[in-house]
Amino acid sequence: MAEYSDNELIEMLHSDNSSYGFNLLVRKYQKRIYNQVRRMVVDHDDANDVVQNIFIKVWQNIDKFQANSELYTWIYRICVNESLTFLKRKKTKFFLPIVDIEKELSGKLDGGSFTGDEIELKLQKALLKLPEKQRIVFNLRYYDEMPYEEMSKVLVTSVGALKASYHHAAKKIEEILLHH
Amino acid sequence: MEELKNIAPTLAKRSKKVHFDVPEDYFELLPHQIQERCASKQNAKKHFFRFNKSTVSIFAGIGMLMVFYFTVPSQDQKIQNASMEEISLYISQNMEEEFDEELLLDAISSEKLNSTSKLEDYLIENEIDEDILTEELL
Repeated sequence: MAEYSDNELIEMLHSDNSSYGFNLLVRKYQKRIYNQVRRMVVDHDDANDVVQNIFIKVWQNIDKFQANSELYTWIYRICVNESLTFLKRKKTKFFLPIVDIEKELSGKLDGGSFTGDEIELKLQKALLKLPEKQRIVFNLRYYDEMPYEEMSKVLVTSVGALKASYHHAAKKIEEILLHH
Repeated sequence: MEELKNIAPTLAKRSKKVHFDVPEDYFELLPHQIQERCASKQNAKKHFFRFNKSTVSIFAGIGMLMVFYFTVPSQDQKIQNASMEEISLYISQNMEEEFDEELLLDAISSEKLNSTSKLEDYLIENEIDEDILTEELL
């Protein structure tokens, strides 16, 4: 299937062909969004719920989307918000302190749905030790190779702060990989 | 990645391949599932508004009736809230025959007026027989 540009998708979404346009939008972004979410929430079923909520929000709010920002920046912003909201609700629902959430997610990595090697597993567990927002910065930069300028629009944070956050995160993970 | 080579060389060498197990055909089915949910949410909204119009009308009507009932004073309340002078004036204007206390007391006990204190006060103040009054009210 030919991939459409974001501008073409926006045009379709605002036309009588909006359903088809939305279908194409989901197909274009689903893997990236899913992987981002999965790294945050670990469990597939949870990731599936969050991903569906993200795209439903995109559909419901597409009329409000301002063309002054990039479509994918907007989608990623919804993705970040929904992931953080999900983790916040998880903590509130079960009255779990932060450390327990980390343990729970780490346990899910051991559960069999992770197919990487020992070092890769260590890396994913190290990521779970990062504060959530720092983890998001790391995931966007390391895995999606998102430019800092774009990340700044997604997270509404300065480029300088994002660079600092990413470098700290990388050092922490390096330390864990080498010495634990 | 150049950026990581200096600060995290081990990390820089790692592959960025995704290592999470995803159910087969998940990404084939996901767009359809999402569109179905969007459509059902849209229908649920329509039904809600359609249902809501008639429901709101009914509840608004009931609400207005309740407001009317509790705020507009009833005839009984008008009587209960009436001052002694008003009661006296009413009796004198509307009683053609000589005022019969026993008749009044019968009326009080049979109608089971919630508040008879003002009426009692009137009868007592106007030196109506207390014994008859006490006997009937106890």
